[in-house]
Amino acid sequence: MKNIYKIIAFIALYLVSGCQPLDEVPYSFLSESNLYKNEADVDKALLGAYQPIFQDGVNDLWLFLALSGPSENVTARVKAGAQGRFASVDFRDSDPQSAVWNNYYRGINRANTAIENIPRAGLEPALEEQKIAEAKFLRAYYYFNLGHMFGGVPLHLEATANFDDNSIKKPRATLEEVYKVVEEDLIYAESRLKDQWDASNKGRATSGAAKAFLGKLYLTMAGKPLEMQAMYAKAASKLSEIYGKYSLVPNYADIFDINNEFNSEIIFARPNITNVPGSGTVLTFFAGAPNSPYAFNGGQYQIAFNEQYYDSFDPADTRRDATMLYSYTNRNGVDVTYNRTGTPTPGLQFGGPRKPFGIPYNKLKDASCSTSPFDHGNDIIFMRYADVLLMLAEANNESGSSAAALPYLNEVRNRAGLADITETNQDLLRDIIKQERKWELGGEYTEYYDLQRWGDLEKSMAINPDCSQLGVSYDPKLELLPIPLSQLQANENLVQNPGY
Amino acid sequence: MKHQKFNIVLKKALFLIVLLLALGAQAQGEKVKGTVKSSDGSPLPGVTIIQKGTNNGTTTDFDGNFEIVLTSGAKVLVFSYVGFSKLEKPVTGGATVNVVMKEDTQSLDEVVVVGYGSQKKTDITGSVSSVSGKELEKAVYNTVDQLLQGRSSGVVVTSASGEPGSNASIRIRGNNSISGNNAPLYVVDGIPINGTPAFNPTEISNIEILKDASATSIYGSRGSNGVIMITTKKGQIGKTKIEVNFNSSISNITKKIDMLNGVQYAEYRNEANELLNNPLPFPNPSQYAGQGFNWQDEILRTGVRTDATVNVSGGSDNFRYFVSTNFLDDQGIIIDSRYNRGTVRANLSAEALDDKLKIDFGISMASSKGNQAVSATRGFPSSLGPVTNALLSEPLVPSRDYSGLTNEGYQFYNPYLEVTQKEHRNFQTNFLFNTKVDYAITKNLSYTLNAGVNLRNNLTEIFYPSTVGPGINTVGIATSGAGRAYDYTVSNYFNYENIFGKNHKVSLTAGLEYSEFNNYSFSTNVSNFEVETLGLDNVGVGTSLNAINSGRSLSVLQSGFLRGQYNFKDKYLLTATVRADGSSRFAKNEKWGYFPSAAVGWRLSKENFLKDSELISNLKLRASYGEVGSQSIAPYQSLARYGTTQYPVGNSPSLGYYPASVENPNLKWETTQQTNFGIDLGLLHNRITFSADYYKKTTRDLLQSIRLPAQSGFGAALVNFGSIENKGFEFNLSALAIEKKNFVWNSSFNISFNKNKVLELGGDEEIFGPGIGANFIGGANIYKPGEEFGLFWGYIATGLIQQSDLDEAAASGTPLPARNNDRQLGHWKLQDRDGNGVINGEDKTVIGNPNPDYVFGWNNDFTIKNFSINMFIQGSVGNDILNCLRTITNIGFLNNESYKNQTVDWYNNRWTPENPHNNILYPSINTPSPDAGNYMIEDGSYLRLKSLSIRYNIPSNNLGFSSIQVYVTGTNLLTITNYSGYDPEVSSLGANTLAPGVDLGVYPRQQSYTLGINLKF
Repeated sequence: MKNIYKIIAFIALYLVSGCQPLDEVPYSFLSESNLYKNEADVDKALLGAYQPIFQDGVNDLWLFLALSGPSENVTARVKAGAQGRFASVDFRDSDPQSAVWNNYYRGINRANTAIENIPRAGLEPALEEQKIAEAKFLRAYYYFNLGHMFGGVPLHLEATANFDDNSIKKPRATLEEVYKVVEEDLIYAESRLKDQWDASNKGRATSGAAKAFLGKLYLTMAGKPLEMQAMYAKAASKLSEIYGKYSLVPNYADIFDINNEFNSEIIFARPNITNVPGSGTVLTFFAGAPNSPYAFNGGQYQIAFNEQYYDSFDPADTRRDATMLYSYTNRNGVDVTYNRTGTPTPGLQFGGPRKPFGIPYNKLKDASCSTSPFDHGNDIIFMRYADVLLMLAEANNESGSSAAALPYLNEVRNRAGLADITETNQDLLRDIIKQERKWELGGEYTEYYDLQRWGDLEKSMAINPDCSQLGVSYDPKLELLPIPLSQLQANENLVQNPGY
Repeated sequence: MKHQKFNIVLKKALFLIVLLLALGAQAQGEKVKGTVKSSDGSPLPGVTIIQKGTNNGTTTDFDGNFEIVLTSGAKVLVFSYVGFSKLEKPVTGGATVNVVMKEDTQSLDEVVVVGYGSQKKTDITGSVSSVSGKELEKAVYNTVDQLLQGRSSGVVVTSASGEPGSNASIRIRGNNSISGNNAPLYVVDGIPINGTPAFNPTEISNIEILKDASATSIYGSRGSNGVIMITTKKGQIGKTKIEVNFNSSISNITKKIDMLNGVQYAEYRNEANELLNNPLPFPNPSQYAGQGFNWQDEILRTGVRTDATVNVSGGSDNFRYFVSTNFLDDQGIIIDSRYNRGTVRANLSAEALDDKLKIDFGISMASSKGNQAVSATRGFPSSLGPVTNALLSEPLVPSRDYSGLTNEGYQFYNPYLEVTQKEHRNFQTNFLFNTKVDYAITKNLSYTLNAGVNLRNNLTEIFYPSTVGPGINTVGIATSGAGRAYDYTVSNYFNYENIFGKNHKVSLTAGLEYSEFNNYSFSTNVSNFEVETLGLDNVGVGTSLNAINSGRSLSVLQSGFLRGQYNFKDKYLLTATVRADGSSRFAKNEKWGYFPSAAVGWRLSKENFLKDSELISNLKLRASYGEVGSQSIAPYQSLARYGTTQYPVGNSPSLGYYPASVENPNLKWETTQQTNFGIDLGLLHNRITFSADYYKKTTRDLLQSIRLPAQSGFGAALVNFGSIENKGFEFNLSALAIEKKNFVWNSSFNISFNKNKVLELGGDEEIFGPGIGANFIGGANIYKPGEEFGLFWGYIATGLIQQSDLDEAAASGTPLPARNNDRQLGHWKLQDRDGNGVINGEDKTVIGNPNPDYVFGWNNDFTIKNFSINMFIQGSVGNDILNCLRTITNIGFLNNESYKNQTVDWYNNRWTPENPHNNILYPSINTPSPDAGNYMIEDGSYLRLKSLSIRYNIPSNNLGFSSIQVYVTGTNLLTITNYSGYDPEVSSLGANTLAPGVDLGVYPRQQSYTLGINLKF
């Protein structure tokens, strides 16, 4: 009998030691149940939804190259691979615009999740609406960019809760449907968002930002490919709501000064901090002039402006030298000047800036970045007041009020040290406004959108030295970026843009 | 109860009295003499003789004679000898006891360790291979996994690297999973452990490899990749034996690759630049005569390895011990690479209550420190590692210690500085304890409790100073990761065995098991070292803290298992097993999995028509079927998780969070169904044994990270989808080929044929392996339904572009199809498979197969008088290797970041207008960065003399040793292969299942010579 007791004792021992529940207790991560409890939680969920604006790591460069690279004025030092292809408007479905697509949809799902969960925090109704407005602003921002780049994209307006095909493999909507969502979200946001944020929240969306993007949306819908002519007037009217709410900084170069961020001209920017991993941009590093003191380890000099752009400026235009770093003293104390003959300068890294690599980018300079190429602190500006003024000029000119366009245009010109324009012929003024945008907003993520809207891509490619060097010629398909190949493979319901 | 306690006290008291009496009686010791012979009359030397119940013992001399003085106690002598049945002989009057010992009924009566018990080999119905520790002692190994190579059919061992202390990957009967785990489960003395055992391989007494479902289903959700059962050495009854084994090896690389020297490099670069209309970087090449570094010579050296083991073992009838310590110092063939390890094991066994109660303690500790030369990041161009850079790095730099830009203005990656200045330290401490209690409740019923604890601490630290690899851009970078794992397992089971009637033998095993796995981790990433001298010893000097992370996980496994065996007349055998596993890792709808198997066996040799056969001594047919699982889900994968991130509003890094995964309430194990048919044949009293197995496995519910459309907001999700199949044949043949008085030859051969096939992948039509060298070459292994596993995927170059091709294209008006518009003369002419005039990803196809047709091992033991010679040959046939390393040193590399050194072979044979050949291995200069293509494929078949060992037993000695053996062992002495790289046994991406057979440079395998001595006393 005693053996039986022993056995029972052993089994009891086993049961005591062994009867843990099989439910998992997570230790190192959060789950939905312990979030969205209060306003602070909601703010954190919103910041999570902002984060994809930030193109992780090297993707900063791809966003730049996809949006500014196609310009006839912007060039890539490295002509091989995707950099050269963006610079020469030779879009491929396998190129890294997929990073932008992936990031923006990540942001959309986060915004959708926030919109659905914010009510769980039990905030005051007005505050709750303000928070939802912020999420909707972000969703609109992402969809606007996706529509702009790729045309009609799939519309996901609910958080992804499962992986059923009908929730994750939606087909493409039309561009009009996408822009309708953008419009509705921005209209919801413009009346509910704050006018401005306190210092510790600078960088979050404001009512002015919603209006500026709404104006830009209308202008975009008015232009190619939708050509909804009536939208010019809507754009002019919407943008005029923020006229005078911001102001141009007197000195053009100060807009980009790392010590003058969130200045009076900035409407929406992605904030960055120097030397804080995960909170900086790598673009300064890629844009930095060779061995210049303005970027980590001297800068990679991957992107630049070509000579025709430099030469197009009036020498009196203060924007020329603020945009391009024609000469500088490098980290070894050697004076370096752009070399128009194209001969490498002995003893200099990459032989110094030279033809045909282009004149280095000068809008991003961070002399104190020392931790990693990814940690530059320059804010990346996605909407500033000069853009609004030029859009006002364009919208007014296109809707037939050319004279009304002039004050906006001249406000921008005067700041650059240029004289007033008095032209009121709509066609002539159109060309002047376009050229003004190119001077004012060079390398600021807007050129490809502008060329699309104006229907000028073919004209631009004809004079784009990268296109002639790499043998790329215009094709109507290039008016949109190709849907990433990886996405076509992942979702058989997606149809590629025509021509790719 | 009180009464019983009193009884025990009484018994103890009596025992003490008897002991005292015994001590007093010892003086009257009775002397017994005798001779021990085998049944054929030949004397048996070295037989252990113990007086029963005491530790009084002796051994027979060379002529089988012994002499023992009995102490008081039972007047019974116990004779034991390896290979013979234990014999007890009472001493009844007279001082002479002559004994004839009978041989054990051949090796077939061997007992084989199986899950939760052991079985007679004759009763086994599943597919189980055994490897004895004796076989393993003859070669030189550092780790447990390496020694399995070629030793058993069905087992494929791939060493990813020749770095001292590195682990190999082991696959039993192929890969069952694409993204899950394919490593077998190790069970050490009955305790299942996570990962590969860390202890010294000479502690192993024998290894059983469980291969089919009948054998593995008792391990349920952890058994599908096969189970490796390791039994460690135990003490033997007898006098204390001390064994000292010391050996020392020197090793060298077997092959170097001839790279361009200074002058050649200068000429090559000049030519490359001239073609691009650039200024010449080396205006006067001849000035570099005698200059230029051969970086292979700079980083290589002669390796030295020292290995010392001391074992003490012995014991009495009811207490035995085996204690072993080992020290290993392996200094590899690359400067500063070194592996040190110290291990201790104590195995104690005790019996009490008339041998009804048996207790085994196993205590093992292994502590190691490795200094690694090759760190595993393998990104292009900064972290390819010193082996790859020893080929690629430019020879013409000012000094061996040079750090900076090359003559052409690109970053120089110095392999010598990498091996001398980079620090990569691995510390591992592994404790494995187990206690096993067996209690025979009745003659037929026993109870076993086996409880084990496995503690693992590891710390890996890497520091790249500002002169090396990734440290160049970051002013030094240090990463460190520490982990602590604490696992424990408690299993309880009953074994019941009985014979009903005369012919019905039944045995049942039933038990419960509980396991818990705790993991803690901590890691940091620091850069920007203005002061670098402290390196890893004080990473706080770095001013940028890039990352600091910690994590904790817990998972729990609860199981019940049942096995029944039925044996009718020793002819018909039936085994049925089932295990139920409840795992916390499985999703909420799938917490419990059930894994059944059944097997039958028929011993024809016991049938009347064969019973008396002189030729056939054993013939058994086996068949089994079952389902086994693989629990390779990491904890928490089925839950909806939130991640944290930051968005720097207000110029301060502000925390944000976001949904990182969607719940999958149905996530579960992968299930492998396996059918096995086998035959075992023994001829001429089992002097020749043969076995063959055929198996077919289908794994379904593959755990896959399927790519989601990014529009969902998620990149990928873990689901169960798809299936793959493995089938194959395995053969083992062993024979005592020659048995003469002074010459014995034992030989065993095994060969395995495995074919795998992807059956279904679900959403994705195909899966690609990871990019090679941080996507420098895109994923080159493909997994698609209907095809074998991991086939190489790439372009087909049909030749090189000749002037005539361009002329023809010009004449026809359609340009030559080209990749990235590269139509330079002498570059690859790629096949435009879809005929659309453009070479792009759509033109890739299958270009090679990394899976061998078969692998084999052949082990030979020769005994010639006092010499014993062991020769072990092993090989693999039919597998291809993607030799990326050769390609990037054979194209005159046009790359934006760095112009790299090339081979002499390429330079002399490259395409030039004067030498316009069509050999795709020698394209013209300035070929752009290659993507995978047939120009990278090489046959990786090889046959290798893995180990050749000659041992000499110094006959009799007067030095007090019972045995002295000296030996010389050569490892990797000879390799027959057509492979052009360092070594055909290569896997640059390590154990990554998704990228087999890729060579981007690995720590080369060394050839070594070992001299050793083994002393026993």
